[in-house]
Formats: sequence, C-alpha cells, structure tokens
Amino acid sequence: MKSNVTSDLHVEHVTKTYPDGTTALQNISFHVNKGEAVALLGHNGSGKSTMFKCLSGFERPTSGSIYLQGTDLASLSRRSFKPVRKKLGMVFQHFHLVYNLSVFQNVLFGRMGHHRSILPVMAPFASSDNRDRAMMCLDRVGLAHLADRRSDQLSGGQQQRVAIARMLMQEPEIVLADEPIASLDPKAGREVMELLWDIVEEQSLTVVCILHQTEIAKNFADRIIGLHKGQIVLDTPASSISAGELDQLYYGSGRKAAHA
Amino acid sequence: MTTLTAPARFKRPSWVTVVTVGIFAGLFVLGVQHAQISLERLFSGILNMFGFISSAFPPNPERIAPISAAMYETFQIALVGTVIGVLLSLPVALLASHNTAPHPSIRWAARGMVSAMRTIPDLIWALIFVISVGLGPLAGILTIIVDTIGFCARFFSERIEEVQKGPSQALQSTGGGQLGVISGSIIPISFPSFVGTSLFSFEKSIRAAVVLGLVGAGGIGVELSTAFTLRNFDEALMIIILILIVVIAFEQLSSAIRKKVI
Ligand SMILES: Nc1ncnc2c1ncn2[C@@H]1O[C@H](COP(=O)(O)OP(=O)(O)OP(=O)(O)O)[C@@H](O)[C@H]1O
Ligand SMILES: [Mg+2]
Repeated sequence: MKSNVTSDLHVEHVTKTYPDGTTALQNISFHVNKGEAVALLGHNGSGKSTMFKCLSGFERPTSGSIYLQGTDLASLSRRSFKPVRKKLGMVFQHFHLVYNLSVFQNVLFGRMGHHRSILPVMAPFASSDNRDRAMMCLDRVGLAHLADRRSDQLSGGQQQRVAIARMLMQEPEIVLADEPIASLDPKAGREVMELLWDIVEEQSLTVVCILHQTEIAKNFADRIIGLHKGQIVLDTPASSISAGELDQLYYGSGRKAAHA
Repeated sequence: MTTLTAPARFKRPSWVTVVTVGIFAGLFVLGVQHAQISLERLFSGILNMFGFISSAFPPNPERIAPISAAMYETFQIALVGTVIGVLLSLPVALLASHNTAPHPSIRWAARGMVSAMRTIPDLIWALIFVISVGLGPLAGILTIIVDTIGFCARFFSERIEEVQKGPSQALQSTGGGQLGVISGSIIPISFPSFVGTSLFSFEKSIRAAVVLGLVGAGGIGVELSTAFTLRNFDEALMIIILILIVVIAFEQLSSAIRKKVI
C-alpha cells in the first residue's frame, strides 16, 4: 500500500505496547508534508519518545504503519533499513557524541551511511572531499576552530552543535529531534534551536521535533501536535494556537485559569 | 506516643548457614590432620629453611649470562603471547557480548570457550602444549595466548557491555552498519579500558611465564628447576633475585603507562 505521495511522514493508527504491558501510544495518526516543521508536545510519559523511536525504527509499532516517503517501515529488514536511516537525521537530548574522540571525527561519522566501509569516515584515511565537507559543516555551526578538541571538553551547547554538524554531514531529508535543548540552559537552548531551524529552512527539510518549551514550539514550528497519555489531543497550525490550549496540554483543565 | 522497636541486635542464623559452617569446619579439621601438621615437622621445616638460606647466600652470579638469556626468553614468551592473545581477545570479546554478538548462540559458544580457557589452570595448558608441540618456548607462548584470552576477552566483553547505547544509536541513525557502529563508537569508547586490561594482563603473563619453565615450556623456569634439582641453591637465589627485579620493573612501568592512559 502506497501512501499519500505529498507527505514525507505518514503515521497511520499506530499503537505501541511495550512487553511489560505499558501502552505508550494509542491509535496515533498524523502526517507531515515535505518541508513542514512539526513540534510534538506533551507532558512526561505521554509517549513522545516512544513516537520518536517508532519513527526512527528503533522500536516497532505493535500495530499500525509508518510510511517514510512512501516506504512502509514495517516491511524493512534490518539490512534494508540502512538506506532509509540515511535519509533520517537525528538529534538527541544527550547529544550522543563518541565522547573520547575529536569533534572532527564525530562529524565525519555523519557520513557513515554514504560509504560501504568505514575507512572513508575515519579521520586519518578520509578523502579530502569528506574532510572538507566536515569542516564546512563545522563552520556552519560556528565551531570550525574546535575541530581538534576532544568532544567531552565542549560545553553542552557546543556538543549539540557538533551533533547538528554530524547530522548536516549526513545530508538528511527528514530531521527527527527528541528534546534537543532539554539539557541546555535557556540561552544556549534558544541559540541551538535557532541554528537548527535556520538549517532546516535553508534546506527545506521536514522536521519532527519533540519539545517541552511551548513558547519555543510556537515560534519555530508550523504545526503543533499535542500528546496526552499516548493519544493525540491537539493538532493545530502553530499560528492559530491559543495559550489556553497549550496550558491544557500540560496542566489539564483544572489549572487553566491560573495560567491564563 | 508510639514506641518504635529497632530490629533485634542479633538474628538467629538459618539452618543452612549452620550446616554450611559445620561442614567447612569439619573439612578444615580433616585437612589439618591429613597434612600431618605437627610441631616437630614445623620445627624441622624451619631448620631446613635455614639450611637452604645459608647455602643460598651469597647468591652465585657465575652463570649470570645463561640465566639472563633464559630470563630474556621468558620475557619474549610473555610479550609475544600477550600481544597475540590481546589481538585475538578483541574479536572473541565482540562475539561474546550481548550488544555486539551476531547471534545469541554464538555468544554462548564464545563465552563457554573463554570460561574454559580461564578455568583450566595455565600449568595444565602448558603440559598439554608441551605434549603437542614439544619442549621449549612455543609451548610457553601458546599457553600465554590461551591465558590472555581467558583474562582479556572476559574483561573486554564486560566493558563492551557497559558502553552506553547513545553514541551507537547515533551512528546507526546516520545509516551506518553494525561494523561501523562497533569500530566507530564501541571500540573507541572502550579503548582506554582495553589498554589498561592488556597491560595488567602482560604483568600477569610475565609471572606466569616464569613458572611455565618448571614444566618445560621454556624460559627461566627451566633454569630454576635445574638449580633446585642439582641443589645449587646459591644459583637458585640468583635466579629468584633476577625474576624479582624484572617482574617489579615491569609492574612499575605498566602501572605508570596505565595511569597515563586512563
Ligand atoms: N522500554 C520501555 N519499556 C516499558 N515501558 C516503557 C519503555 N519506554 C517507555 N515506556 C513507558 O511508555 C510511556 C511513554 O514513555 P515515553 O518515554 O514515550 O514518554 P515521553 O513523552 O517521552 O516522556 P518524557 O517527556 O519524560 O521524555 C511511559 O509510561 C513509560 O514508562
Ligand atoms: Mg522522552
């Protein structure tokens, strides 16, 4: 079954029940068009990370299907998942750099999916094309001067920039981010978010970004999807969303007045 | 006011504990009786020891050249065996770790092999190899290889299983394959620990290689065993001193390197 061709991501009736019986997602359906930026909001435990893992193929939905540019993820074996993953750029809350290697090496790793062996992404053996490209990506996030530094000697904000450079190196078509700024202070968080959004707009990438900051979500996203106990309770263009709707997502109706 | 009762100071031991302690106490007494430990024997033992020490002093450096050559051979056995053992340990450890093994059955096979290598004492391995490849350093090297795999593959694998999932997941998400994930994140992250374990294993190998000569697997142990058999205690002392110097020197060196790496 081929899905709607204009949407990059198509989620249909996805339910996820973990082996211990927790149902984290219940009958979720939405789609994201090419070049659209969606913010996924919801309180702790509402199922956002589970959605992220299903979209990236690290978890399989218990039922329902996910189409990525028309490809049904469930139909893919481990091996045939690789070319699909190549199109998916991911940004994580805890950056996930290989902490005891250099910044440069970490960015080079972003190119892994483009080569059959791993030698072309190892700093000492990489082609000059890859090396130049890595430096350009680092320059794009403003860290070219730190290329030689060990990754764990960078601040959190800088590490997330390196992770973004690694993602750029990959040349993805769709970006998935799980709370990319949750471990950063407000200033660094805003800067990283602006950088991520500039890049995404430049290259007109499709984005699904999990966030906790409603303000930031409203500023950056085209559309906001709200999850509550594994179900979609909100799916609205960011421009027309009201503060009340957002508050309700986090506090439930009882606290609405206090936060108006 | 409610009174709060603290738990009792002593708990009555369970009968399993009582029986276990009883069995061990019984075995201990039987063991002492079996070894025929008596005051006279201890006393004459001390006298014999004095005999050995007085005839061992001063150490005899006459045959220092062949002894040093034998020590050098021991060192070579330890070095060659450890290097090959460490290199083989890496793939074995990857096959034995749950986050890198291609299949659970392979993992169990690899683990079983490593435990067997570790559980069978090195002197027994040495006897087996002396029978299969003959007397001399090759038997020693093979023994050290097996010994090193038993030790290193186990600790490598423990480290590999502790590696956080995050970086591996990130590399996987760029479209990298299993080999890319292993060489890009798992090995680099575990590398300092691998180096520490390998150096430690080298220290262990030097001590092991000394003893291997006693069963004919090459090196200084052969000299030591001969000196004792011929009752050349002064030469034996010389050999022991040389062993001490070399082992201590390498322990110092390797702990210095380990501190630098970790
Ligand atoms: N591996 C797992 N096994 C069992 N239950 C899980 C697992 N991962 C998540 N859950 C459960 O699924 C539900 C949704 O979790 P999820 O991590 O998706 O929430 P979240 O919206 O990302 O929360 P947060 O904002 O805290 O990150 C929770 O009840 C959680 O306990
Ligand atoms: Mg989460």
